[in-house]
Amino acid sequence: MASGSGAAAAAADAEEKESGSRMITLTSNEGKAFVVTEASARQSATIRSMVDDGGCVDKGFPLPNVDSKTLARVIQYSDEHGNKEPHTVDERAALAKFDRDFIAELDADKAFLYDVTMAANYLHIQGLLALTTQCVADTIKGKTPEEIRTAFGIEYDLTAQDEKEIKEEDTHA
Amino acid sequence: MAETVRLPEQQRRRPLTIANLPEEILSEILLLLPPKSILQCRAVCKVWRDVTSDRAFLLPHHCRQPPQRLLTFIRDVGSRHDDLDILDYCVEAVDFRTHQFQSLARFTGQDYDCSLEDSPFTVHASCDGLLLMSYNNYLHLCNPTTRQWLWVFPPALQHDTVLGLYSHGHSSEYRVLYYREIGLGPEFYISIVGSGKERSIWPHSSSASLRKWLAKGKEETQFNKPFLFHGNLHWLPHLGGQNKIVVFDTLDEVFRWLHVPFKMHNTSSLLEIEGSLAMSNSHLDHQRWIFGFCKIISIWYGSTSIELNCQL
Repeated sequence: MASGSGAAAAAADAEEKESGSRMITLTSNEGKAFVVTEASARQSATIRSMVDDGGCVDKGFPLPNVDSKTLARVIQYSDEHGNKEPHTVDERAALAKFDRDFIAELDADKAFLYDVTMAANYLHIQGLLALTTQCVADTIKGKTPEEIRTAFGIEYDLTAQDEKEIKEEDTHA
Repeated sequence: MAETVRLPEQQRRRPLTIANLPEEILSEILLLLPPKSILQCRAVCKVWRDVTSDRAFLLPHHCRQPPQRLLTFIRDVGSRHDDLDILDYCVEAVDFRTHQFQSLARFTGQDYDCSLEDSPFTVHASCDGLLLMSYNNYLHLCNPTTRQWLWVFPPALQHDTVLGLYSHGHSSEYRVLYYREIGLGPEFYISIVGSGKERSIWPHSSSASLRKWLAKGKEETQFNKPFLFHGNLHWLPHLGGQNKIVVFDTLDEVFRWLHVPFKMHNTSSLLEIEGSLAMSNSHLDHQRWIFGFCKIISIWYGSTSIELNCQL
């Protein structure tokens, strides 16, 4: 959870400074409330536009598509990226390390990785979406179709016509 | 009734797998893969095959690839072993930043007669990552990422000279520009890929001098491979001492001159530097090759030129 102290200092103008110190409540589909700094919440373009459109900041934002476990993990990411602005080389390296550890942990639990990907997509958190999609892409890279089906538990449903086309595509190696 | 009530709960608990991710996210993931992996993904399942066949996926995928230069090779692979007449016709793309070659297409053929002027295999044009090539006078449009092939009109390459391939305006149509030279001067035609039909374009230019120049035919005009920039086709006239290049405006489908503020040498070629149309000049001056790179901004105004001297 956010401490809320770091964000205000990083904000460029007075208005941002003011908004950065506000706290926002996000509610999961299980009704659990999470209080985060506005800077952290603004990592999400969906919430950012609702806040900027004069949305009900005080009432909080219900997120009917995100469960508590996923929301907690998404907030862990947006706190790290929203509340701190890396200025030095060391700070940037620390943030990169955070991303690496964050994704390595998610990669071990594929179903949870997809939950976080879906939430990042729904909330429009570009950095998080890039991180999770790249992780899945890296798993696909260098694998044969059979290995991909095994790795992701995908059912083979190609028709005889598809197989014929695939064979033709293969001949122009 | 009881089942209907339980359904949302069941849905929520069903573990999310890659198979039930929405197509927009799957597409985001597959966009990150190199062309070689895309080919593998096309043989995984129906949904993956459909996503990677969609133009809405293939175009952004191509745009994410680094700019590459196409090279074609003919390799004699038979004589290495025994005296078999086996030849490989290859198209490869080279990424100048990494110096890596990537194989795009390869045919194996026989009986290539070296005395023939034209190779049986030619790449005529490329656009949006698609290659327009001919093999033994049959023209095909090929997507090297998906390895999909489409036979393209016109078939009579003995009479027709392909000038370029372009995507027309905001439509999803690819069109081939070519000319036919039988008897009186060349006639210019356009064919929409997949339509099997052609139509003549006349007048093909509002400029009388350009019409005159285009009417001179193959010997004079020497259309080389067009340079596709901002969707329009560009050619250097290759006349020497000229200060204009030929542009085919692909939206209005007419030719026009583009004036340049200097005279060009015979060995100039067009290129793109940081999003601007640019031209390289090189000429032999007192036993020295002079290479000049001219950066052209917008419509030739404010052009800057860097001269590189290189002694050979």
